[in-house]
Amino acid sequence: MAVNDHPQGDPPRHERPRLGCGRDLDEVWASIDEPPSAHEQHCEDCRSARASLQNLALITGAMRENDRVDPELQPGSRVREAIMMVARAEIRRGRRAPLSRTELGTIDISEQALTALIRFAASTLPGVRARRCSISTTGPGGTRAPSGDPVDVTDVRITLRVALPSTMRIPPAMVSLRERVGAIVRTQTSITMKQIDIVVEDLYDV
Amino acid sequence: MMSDPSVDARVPDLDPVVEQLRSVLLAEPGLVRLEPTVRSTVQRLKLTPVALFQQTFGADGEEPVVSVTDGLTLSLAGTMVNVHIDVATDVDHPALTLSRKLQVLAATTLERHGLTVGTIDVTILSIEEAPRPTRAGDPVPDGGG
Repeated sequence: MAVNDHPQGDPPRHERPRLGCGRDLDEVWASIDEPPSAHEQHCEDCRSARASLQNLALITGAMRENDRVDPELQPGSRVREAIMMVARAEIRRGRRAPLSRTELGTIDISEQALTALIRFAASTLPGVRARRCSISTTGPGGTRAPSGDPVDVTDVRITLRVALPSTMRIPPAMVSLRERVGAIVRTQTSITMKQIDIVVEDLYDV
Repeated sequence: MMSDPSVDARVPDLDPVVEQLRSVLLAEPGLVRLEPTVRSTVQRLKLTPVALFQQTFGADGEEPVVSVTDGLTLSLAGTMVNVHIDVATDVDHPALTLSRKLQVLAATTLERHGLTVGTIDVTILSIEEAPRPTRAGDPVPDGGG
């Protein structure tokens, strides 16, 4: 951080404020968090400047801390609730999957949007009731990617749990379901899934 | 109030742009809504004091001027305007194709305002079945009563 900003950017070196020993004050500030150098230990000008700058850092830190706990500066309950509502929704949205980079910018999709799309796609097949859906992408060497990492769209593997009518023949239904889910996801997002695991976890009477 | 005309001239007011852009985007078939995010909510809350500070003291190369509405963030960095759009889309419209359209629409709108387009990023936060308008003659849904 510069202690003497110049209106048109940094001033020329010879115009910067200097201590009696000739050192640039910005140089002293730049190393304020480090132990004093050999020169600074013995130079009266540098020791005095460091003491003043450390005092300045302490005061600004204290002011920041005061602002943090000042009741006058705390958000009201409605503001806090509004932020928390959006924050909870954002956490549910999960990771992001990059879909495209155009000449104008990037396009990505949230993991929640993708799983909702998969469940919707499955439900378009008559009789299929889609339940939970999870997406896993494997990192290098087959390890699962960290939860904060974006979804690797070249390696999307899903597990979809469904309930089917007890009268439905399961093997052909699985083929149709995989085709339907794969086609709708590809049309909507251009993602071609690598693996679609389907778990029939319930049969219901019709 | 003292003001520096040269600074005022350099910093365009993005609020009318963000409002018009919002209308243009929402008129596009397939866009269900612009989704609020923590970023857009918090930025909207701190917008007024920050914008006032930046318009008073801002200079080239400093923090960008920002204008935010739910799901839509415009930030001025130097002479370029960067846009971030968070959307919920209708499942009847391919989300990726629609997002590309929204990028082009945003770019056209910015250019119409004489602004230089930086990056326009789109995040699809939801794909859902949009409510369909009921037509005369359609069966009335059972109210469950």
